[in-house]
Amino acid sequence: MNKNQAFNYNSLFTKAKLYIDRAFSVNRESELFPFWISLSLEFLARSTLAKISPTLLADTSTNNAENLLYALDYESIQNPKSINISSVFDRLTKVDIKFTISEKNLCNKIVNERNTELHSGMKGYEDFPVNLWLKDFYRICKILLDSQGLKLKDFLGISEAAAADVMIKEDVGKIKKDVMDRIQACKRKFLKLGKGQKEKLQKESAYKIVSVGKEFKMIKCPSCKSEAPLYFQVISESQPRLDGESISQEKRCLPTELHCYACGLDIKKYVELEAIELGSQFTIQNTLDPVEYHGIDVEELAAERMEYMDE
Amino acid sequence: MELIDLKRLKRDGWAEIGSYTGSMRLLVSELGKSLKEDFDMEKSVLTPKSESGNFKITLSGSFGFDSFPYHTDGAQYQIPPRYIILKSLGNGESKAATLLVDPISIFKDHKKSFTVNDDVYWVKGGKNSFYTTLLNKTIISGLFIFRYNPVVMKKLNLGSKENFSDQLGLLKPRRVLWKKNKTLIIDNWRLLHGREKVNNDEVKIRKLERTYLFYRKYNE
Repeated sequence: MNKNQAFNYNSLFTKAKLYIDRAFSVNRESELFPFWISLSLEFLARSTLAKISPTLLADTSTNNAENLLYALDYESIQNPKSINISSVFDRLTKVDIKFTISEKNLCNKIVNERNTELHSGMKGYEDFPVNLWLKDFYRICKILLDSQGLKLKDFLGISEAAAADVMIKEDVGKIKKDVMDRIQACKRKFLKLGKGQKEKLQKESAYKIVSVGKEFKMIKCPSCKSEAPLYFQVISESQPRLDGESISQEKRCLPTELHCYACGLDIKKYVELEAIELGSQFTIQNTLDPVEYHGIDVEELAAERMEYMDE
Repeated sequence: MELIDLKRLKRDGWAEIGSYTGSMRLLVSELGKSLKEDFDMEKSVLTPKSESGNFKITLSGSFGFDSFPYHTDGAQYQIPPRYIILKSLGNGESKAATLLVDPISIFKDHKKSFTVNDDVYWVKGGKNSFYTTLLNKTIISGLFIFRYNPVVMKKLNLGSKENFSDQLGLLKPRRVLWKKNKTLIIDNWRLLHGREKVNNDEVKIRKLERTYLFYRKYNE
């Protein structure tokens, strides 16, 4: 039997379901609608981590392992402490799901508005009304539920899930149209440039790409077909393995943004990349220098060997 | 397996043996082999009891000799017993039938926009209390566990307009009558069972041996 109810996947997911039902039971214009949604989002996010491992929820900041042991069912404690919600969203960007920094930022914003409502003299969701982010909320729910092997209807109920699905699809359609329009606009602008100007921009872009300081891979720009960087975040890394005389390691990556320095096309959200089919995860192979990887001080090693030869 | 009609157990969620005089351990072992599962057994003997002297949280404590409402056993456990085997030990025939109903049709009614499975329940069990839906697939991923016991489960949300127990009342139950050595196997993750009212003259006759079969791999 599970003792770690506080971090238990089923309990957290079902609690999220309870709160979303409470949201649906109030008027959509009610102040309680976004309030219950934000609570539901919190528990859905926590349940996603718990499904991977309850240990991902344990607060280990206090230098003792009792919360971790509780998560592993080894210890029974009165008030198990879990990590705060912003850390939950942060961890979700690091596990192998389509939850990126843009989803994290939006989730933090939804929860921060709730905290404004609860912990300050100000009114929450005043400048960030629910109609602005409801479709994104449903889209994020879909990402989190997908990772749990569940469907929107398992969480929202049949009719609300059908409506949410329409909103998500409409939104994806709108996003796709918006990105395609931008691609076309950048293409027209680029085509109007002279040959020399085009080459100059393409040449300069190489310096600009490196100066950004983010990890990227080069692809053909969907607008002007110049080489453009597709920036990404690393989701996970394989164990380094010895491959001949070098060490190789695979990194699983999720694209996050695309910027073409030649035509000026700028795509900054994952959903936008996904809408034009540039959102697929990919793997890159890294070759590591064994000396660097093991932190070997070559000079020290050489000195040691010399000493050995002296004897 | 010859002893148990496995086809019926899988199709209808229950099976019976007219008279079984062998050992319960052997029956459980045979069932485990057929289903390719290992079970832990927990045996007890059930006799009708009055309301007094029993905890309210038990069905006897709440209903005494009256009819028992439909329920699944062990609903208070995250993972309830997978199967229940009931065997009559009493001499003579008991007229108070055990009732079996299959709630699957209630869950399959896709016309309803908000189904009973969107309802969230709080299962009372002290420190081990937990949230669940009636048909749960998040306790063991990929497996459905149905549970319902109005004594230990409290509906928390407004949820569906229909009351689940009212809908159960619309289903026609299978009545199982008891005579010595009759044995009934119930799929406790699917079927609900109840009991008809026990009359005074039957109190001494009705004696059932109940064996819970817990899935070992989920119970370690």
